[in-house]
Amino acid sequence: MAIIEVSQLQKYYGEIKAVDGISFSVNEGELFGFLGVNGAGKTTTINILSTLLSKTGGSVTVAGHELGRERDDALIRRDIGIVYQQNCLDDILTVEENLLLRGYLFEQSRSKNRQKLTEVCEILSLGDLLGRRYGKLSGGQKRRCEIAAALMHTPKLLFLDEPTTGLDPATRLSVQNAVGKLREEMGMTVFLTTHYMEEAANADNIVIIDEGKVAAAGTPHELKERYTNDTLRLYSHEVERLIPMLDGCRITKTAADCTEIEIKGTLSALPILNSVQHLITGYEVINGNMDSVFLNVTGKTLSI
Amino acid sequence: MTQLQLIVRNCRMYFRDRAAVLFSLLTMAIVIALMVIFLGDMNVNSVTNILTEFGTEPLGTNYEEQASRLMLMWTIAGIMAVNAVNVSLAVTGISVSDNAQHKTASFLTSPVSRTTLSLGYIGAAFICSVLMCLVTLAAAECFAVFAWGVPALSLSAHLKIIGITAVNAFCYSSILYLISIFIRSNSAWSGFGTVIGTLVGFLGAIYVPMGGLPQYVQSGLKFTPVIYSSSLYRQVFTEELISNTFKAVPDAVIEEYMEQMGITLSAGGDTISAFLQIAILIFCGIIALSAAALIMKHRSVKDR
Repeated sequence: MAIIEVSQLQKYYGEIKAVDGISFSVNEGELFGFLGVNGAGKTTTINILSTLLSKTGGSVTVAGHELGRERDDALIRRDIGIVYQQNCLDDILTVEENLLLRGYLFEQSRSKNRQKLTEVCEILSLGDLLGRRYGKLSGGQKRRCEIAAALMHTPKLLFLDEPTTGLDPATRLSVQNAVGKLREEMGMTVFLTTHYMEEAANADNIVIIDEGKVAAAGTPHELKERYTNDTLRLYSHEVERLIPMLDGCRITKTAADCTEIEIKGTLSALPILNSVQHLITGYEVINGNMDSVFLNVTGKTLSI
Repeated sequence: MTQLQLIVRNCRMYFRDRAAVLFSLLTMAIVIALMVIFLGDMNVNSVTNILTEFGTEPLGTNYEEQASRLMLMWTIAGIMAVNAVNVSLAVTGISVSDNAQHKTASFLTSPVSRTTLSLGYIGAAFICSVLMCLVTLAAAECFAVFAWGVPALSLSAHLKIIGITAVNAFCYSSILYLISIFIRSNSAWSGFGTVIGTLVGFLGAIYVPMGGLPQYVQSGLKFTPVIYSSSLYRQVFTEELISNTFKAVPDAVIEEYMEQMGITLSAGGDTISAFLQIAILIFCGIIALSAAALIMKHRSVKDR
């Protein structure tokens, strides 16, 4: 069942079409990847979905509520949590004060708020940090607190707008683990925008937008199938004899003892390997990755 | 509950930021320094001259001591007036900082309205101003009574001061919040704060007494609320001292002196009553609050 349905969504700023008729849907419980270069329209779309920004056209339904009607917008706000790229909690307050305030913003009672605080702290392992000032925490701890703040009112849907940008690999991994744990333990739907393709590869479904339009959509596997090829890397000391045997294959790289050819799917490697096995000392099949998908779809690389 | 928690959050943000507290007391420090180094003697001499001319006290009476006490209370009244401006400036600055750091957007993805957020800043500015003024009052009165032998203020004088402080805090919290809506960056607010912090001493005729300013400046000052604040405080702080010090001085001379020192204000030859001065401050506050509410409502309709 779809928790978000977007149809022909538009957001224009005068002549500029920030979002230009995009359509997609997000199913309940899934990790949805929303990719695009800077300025592609990702944050504008999230701001519209989270009721911060009005849309120019199109229709959007979030958690069964139609966006754009005041009463429905209020209900949408109760069902969503957002973690922005930049930290939004107060440095000068303790983690506990920050988190409790977020609960109070959703008009939760004191006892409910305390209960939620215990729950989110357990899931995100924040128990030891509650009494510490938010500003004194490490980057990874801060990110986990930001996620906890977005969960204080038990949203059905969590938006993560580039939550790991600018973080070191270890911290990024700790945030990814926290998101994974959330999905595992709470069955939460996560709407993720990211610059890191390895994060997007874990998504159930992905939409790539470019210049405000949907450039590609599908599961990571489908996108790889559609937009990338696998690579067969052959190791050989007889490259001069090997190359003529690869007639009809697209050779992408040749080195002293290694030749790479493009293949359509892993199984396509088998007949080639059979024909050249007497000339090679080893081989590797390298699957197409999301970086290649992104590059092939948009013709752009992601800048972080 | 949400409203109260937002006010608590903003109060915490102010009181835990030692730099903000310190800078909001900066004008007070400037006033004290000016009085000690330059203006104190000048003001004391003007009182001593009046007493020498009209005094009927026995030979050897220390007119200078009486004059110094009067000027001390006059100065404390001025400090009380500028305190509310500076504390409100610091607290409403939190809204500018929240905007600049995307915290406002984060708040607005919850069911909290812009009005509730605005009242959170104004309410906190009001509370912090009142508290800081009361602390200043307590400290200043202790200093005046124990170090200078000034008679303690009566209960009714205290009640009047608390009332004026409340009106003052309401007026400046509203006005400064209205201004903060238009300022987008912390550096711009900081620049504005520096200008206002310095200017407020002149606007309230605190650095230089009203009589020392050109007539057109005096007229101009009556279009700002600060002059009414300082006048109201001065009336209460100096009431008893003036009647005791100037016992033998003709009424016309006392009236002229009070006007020269900005204790009373007149317009078109008539003295502006304390009641009217309070009404002016409340009116300014209400106008600013209404304007802020209108702007916020407009912003809510346009985009959240």
